[in-house]
Amino acid sequence: MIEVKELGRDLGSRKDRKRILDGLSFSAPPGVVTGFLGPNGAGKTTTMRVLSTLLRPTEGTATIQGHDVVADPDGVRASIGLVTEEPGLLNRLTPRELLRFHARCHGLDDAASAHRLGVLAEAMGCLDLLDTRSGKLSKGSRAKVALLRALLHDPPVLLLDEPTANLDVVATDAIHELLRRPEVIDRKTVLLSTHSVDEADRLCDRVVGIVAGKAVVEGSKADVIASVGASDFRSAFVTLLGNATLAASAGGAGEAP
Amino acid sequence: MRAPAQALLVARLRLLDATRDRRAFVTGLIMPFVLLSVFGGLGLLGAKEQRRDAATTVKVAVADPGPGAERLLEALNRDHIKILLDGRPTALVARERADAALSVPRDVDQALAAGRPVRFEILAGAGGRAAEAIATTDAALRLAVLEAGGRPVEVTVSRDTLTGNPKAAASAIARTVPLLALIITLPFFGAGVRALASTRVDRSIEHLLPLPVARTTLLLGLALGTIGGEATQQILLLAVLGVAAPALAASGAIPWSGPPALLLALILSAVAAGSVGILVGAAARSERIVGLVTSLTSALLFGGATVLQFVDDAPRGALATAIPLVGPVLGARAAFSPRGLPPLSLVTMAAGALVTAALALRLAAQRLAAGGGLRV
Repeated sequence: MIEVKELGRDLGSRKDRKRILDGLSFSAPPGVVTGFLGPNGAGKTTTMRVLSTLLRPTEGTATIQGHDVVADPDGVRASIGLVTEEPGLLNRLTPRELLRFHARCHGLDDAASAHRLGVLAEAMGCLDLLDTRSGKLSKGSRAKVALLRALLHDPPVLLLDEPTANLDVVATDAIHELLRRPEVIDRKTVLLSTHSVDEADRLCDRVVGIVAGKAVVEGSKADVIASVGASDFRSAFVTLLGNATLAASAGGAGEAP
Repeated sequence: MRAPAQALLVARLRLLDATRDRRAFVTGLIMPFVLLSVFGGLGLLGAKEQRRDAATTVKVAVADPGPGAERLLEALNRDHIKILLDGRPTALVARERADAALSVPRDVDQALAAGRPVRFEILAGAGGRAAEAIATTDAALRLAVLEAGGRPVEVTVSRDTLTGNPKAAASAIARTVPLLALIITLPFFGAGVRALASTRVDRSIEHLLPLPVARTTLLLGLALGTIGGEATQQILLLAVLGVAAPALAASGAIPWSGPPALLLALILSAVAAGSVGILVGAAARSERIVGLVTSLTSALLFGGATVLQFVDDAPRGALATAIPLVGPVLGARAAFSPRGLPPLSLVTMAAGALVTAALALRLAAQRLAAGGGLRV
């Protein structure tokens, strides 16, 4: 479970301070994939960084599985698996070496991590990638390794920050297919940050829309469609987000970087 | 898992990554020797230039001081020869800062008074002008003996002494050791900068920070791994030093306390340089300015250390050795001098390096906690 209340975060130098998150509130329940949608610069990545304890919030609270990101960062870190746009793999190491390191950091012994890695890699069809140096892997394969890394210690919460942003259609499709598998998602709380409405429509059960650091939409896809009387999720969401963006511009809301 | 084990885990990962970078590894192996040749060559040129105008320095060991020996010294002193009186054996004075050593025999007074020939011995010094110094000393000596009322003298200049004096040769090598310490230290500064900066470049920092590992532990692991990787690249140079230093000690050219003091000075140099590097890497707002800041810091800190390397009267007190980067270089130099490295200097040098390391880790961890290590 993820709960975010009145979250605020400023970024930039003292002279050039920008309000990135401005009273953001939403929740993501377990067992479903929650889409976190917004235009570029809306504050999605900053939110994900606050939730993964990379950044401290300026104000407000955020809890993951009951652990506060400021008061109990270790509890949060033990509860999350993180996938970002850039996998951040060390090119001269093999995925197996990297994944063993991450498993050890999470307290898994080698036998347990090897077993789980085998099961997950087989399910994801990437057993053959494990002993190739990361620098030689394609972008799609690197994204799969990043997903493996996030799932290896079986965290109750998955934070996926634009995991398909730099991937081609085939690789994106492969990642989407993985994220729809019950054995991958299990009963986890999944927060998927994306700027693609189609991706959210394909993968998510509910959505949170963010514009200029504030949540402007929250609910199931059916709720979103019903709220504007649109024929499909895409047009409903685009209408809602468009209206919110116009309102934010007119109101002089903090401009995203 | 406890913090030390976590730090070692992070260090192992980084070390594995660093040692697989073949291009950097080969460059790291060769570069110290290139730098040594360049700096050593420049140093020799400078020293040659400096010597051109200076008087020849001759150490004189007088076995039997008396009026005859005094007259002889007075006569020698007029001929552009700077006399440094020393009662110790000539073999010992040869490795100190003198161009040549002249041994005045025990019976010089009686011999000069009786008009008997006297047998002098000239020994080569450690500098690069031994032949010139011996020729000057020889001529000045013959003239001085004549002026002192003696008959033509026999001057022994043994070829063995000139070319095969192990102490003279060894001391020339020993003088390059502090330069080696400087060359070894320089890459550790870069490694310190890279410890954090490289994780920003490859974006691995975004996946290391969400691990259940304390920030300081993570930084310590990154620093140990990157600096350890640098140490493996220095293995060839360290091996040369590892063989040369005990050999120098065995030859009597340097004190036996020299090699362990040098090893300690090198370790502390690496710690101090790496720590300052970590501070620079953590403070830089983006990797674009890391290079600029690194170059400027290197120029300032190592420029100072290089100057001290070649200055004869550099400060060698305990406080001077506490200064990171400068102190360990002075320490390496002192460790190879006949006076050795005083224990107090070792303590202050260690304190300087360790305080810098603790400060660097703390400040860098604070910056990481505030999100300073991330691209925004």
